[in-house]
Amino acid sequence: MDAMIENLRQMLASRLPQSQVKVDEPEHAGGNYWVDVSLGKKRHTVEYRPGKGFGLFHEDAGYGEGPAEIYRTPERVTQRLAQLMSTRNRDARRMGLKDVRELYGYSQVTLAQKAGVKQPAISRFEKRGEVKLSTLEATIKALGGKLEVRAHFKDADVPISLLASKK
Amino acid sequence: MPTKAKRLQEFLERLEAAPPAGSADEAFGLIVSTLNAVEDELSGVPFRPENWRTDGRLYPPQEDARVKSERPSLRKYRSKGHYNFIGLNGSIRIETLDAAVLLDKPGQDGRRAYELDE
Repeated sequence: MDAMIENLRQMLASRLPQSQVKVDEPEHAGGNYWVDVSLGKKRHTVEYRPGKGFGLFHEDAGYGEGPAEIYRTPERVTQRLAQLMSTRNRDARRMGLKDVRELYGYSQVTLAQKAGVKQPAISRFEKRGEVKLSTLEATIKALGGKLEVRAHFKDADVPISLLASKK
Repeated sequence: MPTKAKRLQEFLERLEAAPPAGSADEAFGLIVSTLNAVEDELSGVPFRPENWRTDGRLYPPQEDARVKSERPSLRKYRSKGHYNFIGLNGSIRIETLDAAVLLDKPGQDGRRAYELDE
């Protein structure tokens, strides 16, 4: 079994000891693993693609549809699974700033300090979804990520620049 | 635009209505061409199988999604919530993870997937 899958199993056993974990192994070396993690009535599926990472599916994923979230390490996907399993009415189809912040272990105060914004701005965004793009960009950067905005059309898929257009 | 559930239903109906396949490769090709045709017509999402992350389109199984099968005469392909079984005789069986059968199409010799190893 792939070392990354073995790591994931161990982390799940440690972080979610009550969970049931079922693994579908690939027929051929280098193929994909499928990991079903269930706890009570909740079940989440992870597809592991060697060299690419762990794809986490949302509950409403259809037949043959790809994962909605992708994680590069077993640690991070385990943390996300623990987050999804632990919260009662969490809507797994949406990942808000609060989820991302908690995934990386920041409080609102420490994140605001690192991003150079005020803590109420983070709080407002998490509670009401109101945010300036520049604040969101700084916040994601402070978490170690990069914000991208894309527009999808029927015949196009384009990135939207976050820099103001110069006249 | 039809929902994912309606597009899946359309795929299953077309697959059921298609002439039976005579080999596993033929059956695999039938699944691929049928689902791609349905999604080209109904999903409104361009075909981009290189994107792993969802784009809202339903994609047929690829070879790297083939998992170990308990039945020697069946190839088994996994997706998030389904198993696709393909028999060496061209039969196709699609089940949910909870074993609800969505399609059980015989191969050209008239035998269904689960009849092959009996």
